[in-house]
Formats: sequence, C-alpha cells, structure tokens
Amino acid sequence: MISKGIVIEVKKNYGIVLSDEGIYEKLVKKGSLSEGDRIIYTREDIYAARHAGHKKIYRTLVSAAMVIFAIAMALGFENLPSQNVYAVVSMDINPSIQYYLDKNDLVLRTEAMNEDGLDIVGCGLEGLSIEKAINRTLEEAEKTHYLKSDSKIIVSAVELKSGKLDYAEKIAEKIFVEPMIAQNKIEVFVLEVDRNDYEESRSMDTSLGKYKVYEIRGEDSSGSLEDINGMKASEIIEKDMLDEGKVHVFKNTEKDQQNEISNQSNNMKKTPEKTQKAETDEKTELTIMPGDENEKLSMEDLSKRGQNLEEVKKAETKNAKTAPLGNKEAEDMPDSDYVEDVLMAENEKAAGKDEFAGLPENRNEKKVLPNSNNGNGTKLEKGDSVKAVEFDLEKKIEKQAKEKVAKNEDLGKPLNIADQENVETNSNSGNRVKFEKNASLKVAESDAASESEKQAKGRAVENNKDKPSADEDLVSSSKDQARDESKPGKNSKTSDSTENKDEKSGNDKKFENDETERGKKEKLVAFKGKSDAKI
Amino acid sequence: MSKRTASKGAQVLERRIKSIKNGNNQEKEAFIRDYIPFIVKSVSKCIDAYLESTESDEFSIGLKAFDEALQRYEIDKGNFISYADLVISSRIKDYRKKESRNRTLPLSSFDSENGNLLEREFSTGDFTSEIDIKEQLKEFKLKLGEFNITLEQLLEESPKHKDTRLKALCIAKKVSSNAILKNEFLSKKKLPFSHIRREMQISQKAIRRSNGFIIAAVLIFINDWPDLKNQLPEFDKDGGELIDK
Repeated sequence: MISKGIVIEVKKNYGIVLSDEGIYEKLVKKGSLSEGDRIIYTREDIYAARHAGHKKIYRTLVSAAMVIFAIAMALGFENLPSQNVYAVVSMDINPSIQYYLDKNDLVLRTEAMNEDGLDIVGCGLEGLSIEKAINRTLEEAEKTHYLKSDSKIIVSAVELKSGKLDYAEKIAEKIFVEPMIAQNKIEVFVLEVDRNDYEESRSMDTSLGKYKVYEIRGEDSSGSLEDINGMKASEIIEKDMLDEGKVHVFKNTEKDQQNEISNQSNNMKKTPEKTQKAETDEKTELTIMPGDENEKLSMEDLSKRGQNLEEVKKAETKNAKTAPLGNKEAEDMPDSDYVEDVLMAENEKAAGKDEFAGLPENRNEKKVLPNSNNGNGTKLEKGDSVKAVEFDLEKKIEKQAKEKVAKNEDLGKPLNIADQENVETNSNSGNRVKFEKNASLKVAESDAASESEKQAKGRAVENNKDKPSADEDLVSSSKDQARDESKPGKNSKTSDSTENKDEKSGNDKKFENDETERGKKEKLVAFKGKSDAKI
Repeated sequence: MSKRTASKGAQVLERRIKSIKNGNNQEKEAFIRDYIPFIVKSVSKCIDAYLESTESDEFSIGLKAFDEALQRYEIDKGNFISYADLVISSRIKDYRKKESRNRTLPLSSFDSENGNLLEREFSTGDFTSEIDIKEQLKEFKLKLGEFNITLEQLLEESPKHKDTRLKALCIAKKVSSNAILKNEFLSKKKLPFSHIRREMQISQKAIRRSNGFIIAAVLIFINDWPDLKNQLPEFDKDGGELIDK
C-alpha cells in the first residue's frame, strides 16, 4: 500500500502528514522534507514503525553498555582509565598498598592490595607526590600499629609508559629522605620491577612487591604466593628472600651512613639468626637426650655434623693464606675504616679457619673451664648476657664447643667429653636460669682478661666459621663480618674497662630485647632437656 | 500484498514471474501494481527523499526499471526483489547523472505503456488550488491552537481502524454542515457532545477518544481548505453518507 499525504509539520526527527485517508501520521524524515510537500509513502516510512526499531537499537545499546559496565566492574576499574597512569609504586609493610601515579609522580589513586591495606589506604593520598604519599601512609600505618620501630618495608616501582628501569632508583632517592623513613630509620628495600611484572601482579591480584618476591622465589618454589602474601615485609627481608642477583634492590641502609648503627644492628641480627637456626637444631637434639641410648645416637649425629663441618672448613682453609696474622689484626683493628674492615674480614675469615683447624685444644680448654669452674662459667655468661650479640656469640661458642665435642669423638674420646659437657651444663643450670631471667645489664667486672681474650678469639673464630658457609655475597657479608668482628677485637682489648662495654650495650639495646628473648627461649629449652637428662 | 510466509511468497512470486514470462500481460500489470509500494520505496531510498507523486520523473523511471528487471530476470539468477532493486537504483542514478548534465532532457521520453496506466491510476487529480498550501496549513494549525489541540494529539487520536475513522469523519461532516451544531462548536470551542450522542447514538467515550481528530476534521470542513479537504474522504451534501472515493 502506498499513501499520499501532505506534510503538515516537520519536526526534528519526523514529519507529520495528513494522509489521503484522513489519518495523521508520523513519517521518518527523508531528504529535505518541508511543510506543504505532497508525498507518497509506504508503510515502511511510518515513523512509529521505525521508532520501534530505534527503541530496539536503543535497548541493544543500553544492554551493550551494561555488559561493558559489568565487565569493567569485574576486571576492576583501574584498568579502564589506565591510560592516565604513568607509573605504579607499591608498598608492602604488611598492609600492601599500590599507588598509581601520573607523569609528575603525583598520586592519581591508591589501591589496597590486601585487607590490611584497606585500613590505611583511605588517608587522603590522592594528589600528593609519591614521597609524601608514602610518608603519610607510613604515619597512618604507625597509628594503626602496622608499622613498628623495627619494621622493614618493601617498595616496588615501575614506570609503565616508557618502561625506564632507573625509575625505581629515582623513587628510592625520593622516599629515603622522607621524615618517616629517615628519622625512624625504617629500612626500605626498593625493588626494580618492569612492566611485565606489573601485568603479572595484576593478573595474580597481588601487590607488585610481593609478586616480585614470589617471582624471585619461584624457581625454588619453596613458598606459594599465598604464603608470601601473608608475610610481612620484615619477614621477607629477614628470611633473605630478596636475592639481589635476581632483582635490583635499592636500600636506604646502604646509602645512608648515618644509619650505620641500625645497619650494624641489622647485620648483627642477621648473622646470629642463621647460626641460631643451626644451634636450635642442635639444642633440640640435645633436648632429646635424656636416655643414654638417645644420647649416643644424637651424639653420633652431632659427630657426623661436626665431621661435615670440619671437612667444609678444611676445604676452605686451603684458600686462606694469611692465617696467623688475622687474629692479631682483628684485635688491633680500628672500628671506623670500612675498606680495612673488609680486608680484615677476609683475613679474619682465613685466620678463623686456620685457627679453627689448629686450635681445638685451646677451645677445649676453654670449654672445660666452665666444667671445672662453675663460677667462671656463670660469669662468662653474665658478661655475655649484657650484650645480646655477645650473648649470641657465646651461644655460638657453646655450639662450636659441642661440635668440638663431636670432633673429639672422632679423636677417640667422644662420649666422655660429651657427658662431661652435659654434666657441666646441668651443674650450671641453676645459675643460668637466674641470669637468663634477670638478663642483667651489668658487666662482669671481675672477668679475667685472659678469659675475655679467649672469648674474643672464640668469637672471631666463630664468626669466621659461620660466615663463609652462610653468606655468598662476599662484599656485603664481609662488611657485616668486619663490623661483627671489630667488636670482639675491641672487646678483647678493652675487656677490663667496663665503660666500653656499656657504650656498646647502649648501641645494642635496640635489638637486645629481641635477641635475648630468643636466646632465652632456646636456652630454656636446652636447659629443660639437660635437667631432664640429669634427673 | 497480503501476508504470506516467506517461502510461500517466494513460490507465488516465482509462479507469477513465470506466467509473465509466458506473455501474460494481465498478470504483468497486476504484478506491477502490486509492487508499486516496493518501487516507491526503492526509488525513495535511492534519491533519499519522498516521491512527490506517482507522476514524478523518478517514479516513472522506477516503473520502467522495474519493468526492465521483470523482462531481464531469469528465475535461476536469484532473488527477483533484490535484482529489481538493483536495476531501479542504477537507472535512477543514470537518470540523475543525465539530469545534472542536461537539464533540458524531455522527460516524456520515459513514457511507457504500463507506466502511463499506473500513473493515471495513482494520480490525485488536479492541485490547482489558488491558496498556497502553506497558508492553509498555517491557518489550520492556528485554528487547532484555538481549540487547544496539538498535532501530537492528532497523531494519537487518529482512529487506526478504518470504520472508526470514517465514523469520526462522518460526525465531523455533520457538525460542519449543521448550522446549529457548527455555531455551538465554534462558540464553545468544543464538540457538541450531547447533540451528537442524541443524534448519532455514539457513546461519549468513543467521541472523546477521537476528540481532537474530529475537531480537526470539522475545522477542515468548515474552512474548506482545498488541499487539506482533498485528503479527507468525500461525503454527500447531507453529511450523512460516505461516497467512495
């Protein structure tokens, strides 16, 4: 059917016609439709019909928009306006937060990457520069008790647009001077990550930093991403999960010489921890020693271990040439000079090994001392307890002594000495418990010079013994060592003057608590075991 | 064109084309007549404007092209409709090109036997009204405004059903031809409902539903705007009976 009509009015989207049947109809506009035109049209030109079509299209568009919206919701909105995001910085304390930055390193928006992050993310970070934002986040974290004095944080930074790799360094420099970090001496590890890491972290729904840790660890596959997500940054750092061979790390501790003290403490902390692990193992074995048979078995174990260790040490001593000098040098070593320290440390290492190889009797003597003289033994330990580090070192000595014992077993008289030692510890136990509980800060004034000398030697040896096996990174570890060893060295010199020690104890106060507590626990375990054995 | 299913439609189409090919001229004429809406649509689409009338050049060309398509079409070539559409649009384009080159080309050259027939069929007679149509429309809208009726209202109130529509127009004719009713209508600016109800036995509800439409029709009848009146069905002088157009 075609109709003829007169166009009565032309509206924006349609024209109104009066058809030859007397009907008023809306028609779609075609060409230059104007009033008064006589036109012929078909049913298909009627606007209502087309209008329905429009509605359909409109509905389709709306539903399409809804679908896109839903997808956007599912994927997270940050993916949509990401064209404005120039760089991403993540910070992990335990709360993980990610900052999305514009070209001028101003925070466009933030995102909490875990539940804890939600507690601190809403403190008005948008619009701040990244360093201020991090500072404020740290303040917030401190308020909410996520950030403690000994917390360490991991920061990762990636520039998305150009993918420049020096971006992390740039960020590191900016944030290291922020008051929260510089004044509180918070350790910050800035990881250099790339765009791929960012993409991956997004797909795994984790923060950049933790993803990077996971990636580094991925080859060992010793920890799942979930494990890592659950860890505090401090734990990650302390467990040495940041293999610097695999990721470029910028630390404020390296840069800031003022932080030497905390640095020292950190190093000290690291070292004993490793040895402590081994020690704990042995102590645990000791605790299972009430019966004679058990004892024998475990002693055999110990002896094996001792043997192994000895073999390793021997192999290493082959490399050491400057053996005998080392010890003396260690004693004379000035505390301040870094380079010398490093060199010294290496010498020392060698010396230690040599000494270790050549000084078993000496050690035994020393170990026997407490056996024969309860008073002395206690004093010794008291002295150690003043300084947590020394305390640990003492433990190491003990441990080594046990290794010695094991060695002695090799030499044919193992059980005797082992027993002796056992007995010794038992007899000492009363005193020990006392001092452990008190954790007295007083220095044993009456320490014999000779004894402390021995102690120093023992420590030097001890350090040397531990280091090579534990640390692979020679430069950093040797620095640690140098500092570690400088103390015993100094100590042996000035062991008769208590002042020096007090000073030190002040320095060490920070980590003292931690360390002594840990030490106590382990000692207590050991003690229990021993007292059982006695009974 | 009645509603058919696609396949049935295709079958019928095929049969008819076969018949035409066999020289059935009657069938051909009927076929073209049936497909005039298609031709209008096709041409209109091609020129992106409404055809002014079935007497326009474009429509003639469309008709010719359709005829040509019918002659040249072979059943196994595919869909006739799309083929015809193609032929029409290409002919229209040719014509437009020619038109733009030489505007003096006589259009009568497109006369064809069938075309002439159909043109006569669909011509709406003379449009020799002396009053400019735009003036008529202006007045019409003005009057509608006096009665508080908008064009949108007219769109809504146009009775879709033909019988209803004719009845409404019938009422309008009566009102306009009866002096009393006409006066009442013009003075009260509304339809004389009670009178209509009484006279024509139509419920007020039905009247109200088409109120605007009836008022518009009354106005057209009263004012006698030729172009508009021409769009409405014709009634005899008494206003009662509908005379088929």
